[in-house]
Amino acid sequence: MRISRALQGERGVGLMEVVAATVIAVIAVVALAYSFGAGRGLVNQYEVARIALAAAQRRMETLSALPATAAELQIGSHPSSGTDPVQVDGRTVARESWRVVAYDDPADGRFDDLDLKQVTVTVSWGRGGPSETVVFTRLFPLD
Amino acid sequence: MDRHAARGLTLIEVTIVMVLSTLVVMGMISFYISSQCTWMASSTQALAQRDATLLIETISARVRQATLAEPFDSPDALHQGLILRDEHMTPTWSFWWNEADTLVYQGADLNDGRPVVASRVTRFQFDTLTRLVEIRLVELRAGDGQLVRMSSAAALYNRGAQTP
Repeated sequence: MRISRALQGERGVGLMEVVAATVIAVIAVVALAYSFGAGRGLVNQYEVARIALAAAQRRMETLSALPATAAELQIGSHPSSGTDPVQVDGRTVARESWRVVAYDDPADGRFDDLDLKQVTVTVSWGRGGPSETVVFTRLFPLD
Repeated sequence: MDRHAARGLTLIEVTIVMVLSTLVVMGMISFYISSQCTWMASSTQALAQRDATLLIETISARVRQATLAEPFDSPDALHQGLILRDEHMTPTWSFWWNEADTLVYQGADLNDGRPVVASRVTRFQFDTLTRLVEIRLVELRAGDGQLVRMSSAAALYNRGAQTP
């Protein structure tokens, strides 16, 4: 009988096929879930990066408002304690420091004379110790 | 094929299959909803962070052009405003917190402003020094309720040495 032969050909899905399909589906779902979690982690990470960027900018603006003779703008590394905490609403989220070096203006035609100060502000953060940094550099007048 | 072997499914078998498939579908729906929530939380958080940066950059750009900055309570010390003046002490630009919609507005006139960013601001505080405006705290509420806090500073570059 033709129908009986056709039914014999429809043997269904084997256990191994079901198991393989389930494993592949689970891997795909877990990978998708992990990607969402990783995305959320990146958003949180960028939050600290934005805070650090604003902190570096604040330090640079604060230094620019000081007279050139201020202690904070003398050649060397600052602060004397090594780093200062960067706090937002009383919570420390990063550490900052800045370095002042003498800088030769290449446009004045003279070499090896010191015309400017180069200030580099570094803000570092990371879990269990600084692992990421934002660095700002700006030239200041010597006097 | 034996016709007796093609006996179909019993009620018990159908019930078991339905229970199992319901569990699988419920698991998939709960995973979808959970993923959707994570995605929405991340997106709203990222938007609030971007708005906080934009707000600080907008204020900093205006402060750098000003000669004098005057903070004022709008209406209290946690929600302030900032009036920026030029070298003739004429008010040129202002930022203020609006109690009605909890947005920060900007404009040349306190009666005619537009929101700087679309995110709601829960705290907006300043400190001023002689040549510096410290944006002490900008706190925005993301769509999922989380708070984004940021602070910065901007120098009054239009303030000459002779300005008192």
